[in-house]
Amino acid sequence: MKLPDPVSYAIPAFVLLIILEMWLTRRRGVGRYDWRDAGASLTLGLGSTIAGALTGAAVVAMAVWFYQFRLFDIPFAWWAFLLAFVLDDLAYYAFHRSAHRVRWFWASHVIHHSSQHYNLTTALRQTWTGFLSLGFLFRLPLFLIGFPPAMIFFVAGLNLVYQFWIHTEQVGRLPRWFEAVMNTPSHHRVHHAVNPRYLDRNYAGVFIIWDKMFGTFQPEEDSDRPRYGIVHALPTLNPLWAAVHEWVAIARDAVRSRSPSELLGRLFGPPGWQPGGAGETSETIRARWQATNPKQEA
Amino acid sequence: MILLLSALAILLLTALAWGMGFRNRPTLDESAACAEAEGRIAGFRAAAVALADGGRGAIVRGLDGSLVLVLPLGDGWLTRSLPRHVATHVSGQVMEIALGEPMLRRIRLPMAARPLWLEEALA
Repeated sequence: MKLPDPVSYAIPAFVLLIILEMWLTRRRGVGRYDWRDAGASLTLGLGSTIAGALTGAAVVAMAVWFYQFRLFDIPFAWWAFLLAFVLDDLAYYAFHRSAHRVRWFWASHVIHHSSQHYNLTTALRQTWTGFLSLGFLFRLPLFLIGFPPAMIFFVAGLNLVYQFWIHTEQVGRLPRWFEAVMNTPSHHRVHHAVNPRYLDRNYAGVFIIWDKMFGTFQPEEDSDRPRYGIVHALPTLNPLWAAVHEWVAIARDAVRSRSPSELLGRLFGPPGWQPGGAGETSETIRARWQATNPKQEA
Repeated sequence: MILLLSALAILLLTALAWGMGFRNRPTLDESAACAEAEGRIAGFRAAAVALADGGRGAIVRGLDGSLVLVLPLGDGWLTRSLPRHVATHVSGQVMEIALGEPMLRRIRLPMAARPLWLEEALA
């Protein structure tokens, strides 16, 4: 069964919504845009599309290969699409959490977080090196269960389209029932923030319930305005450096490693890890912040 | 063809952002420099500020004596904790600080009037 690519169909809406958001930003004075940052984000989005086109065939081939070992024959039925959408979102949660907790995966994902702005162009700031970090492995169990690859790629496209609109400061908080179940601009602002309270929280793609189930949920606090970006912010708006900087740092650190365990830590430890506990990980940053703000609870 | 259209769309959207005035180059005052340093460096509490000329950067001293550098980046700021014995060089009214990072090896901070605490900290 041939299914459309939801992202391709959504692109005109993406462009119109970006223009609308720019106008609202100017009119309301809420949120931030910078032409240099927006240009870098959009260029990274185009680069990601090109990288995806170059490696897509290999990913599809791997999915089809795994699918032949499936446990069940799941038909193209409406309930199967629903189930696939929910389970794909769970797989996304697992991938996304790993992408923040394992430096190898972070090296690809950091691109998406490298802007200090948070607007709809940030949503398009996507990885060029996802194939290299093997992030697609997280979806393979779905093919082994028996979901057809075309169905999974379709719902994954829907998932990506959903995640576009939550990258904005123009939407405050939505009705409580919606905020309770779905990922929203408010929840995702927390995810993109470097405030110690917010670090490594809210990994959800579509359903925020995964974070609530697995203990990684943090609501946005009015008293703690999100500051966006990464802990060690990039000193340039150059998109090429945004795409490769963490891989360059990994290579440099790997060469400097003095033991196999140090090498493993530098490749697969949490971002910021250094031997002997000298690094700046989310945990150490949060602990330092709590030490200087004893009344705060993370 | 699709690639060309995409590149054109990027140029148009970027130009639109520029045309709508999203091209600020803000300047710092003391309170903004403190807020930036405290907001970006967990646990940092500002005690004193040395502003660069024209407000295009700052060095902020913390209550614990640590130093944080604030540099302009686009319409915002970039912060870095300065190591205790960072290599610095003063040339006339410009401070040069060697950070040694890729893409940020050495920065030049125009600062004609430097407070004594800064001279001592970087001596």
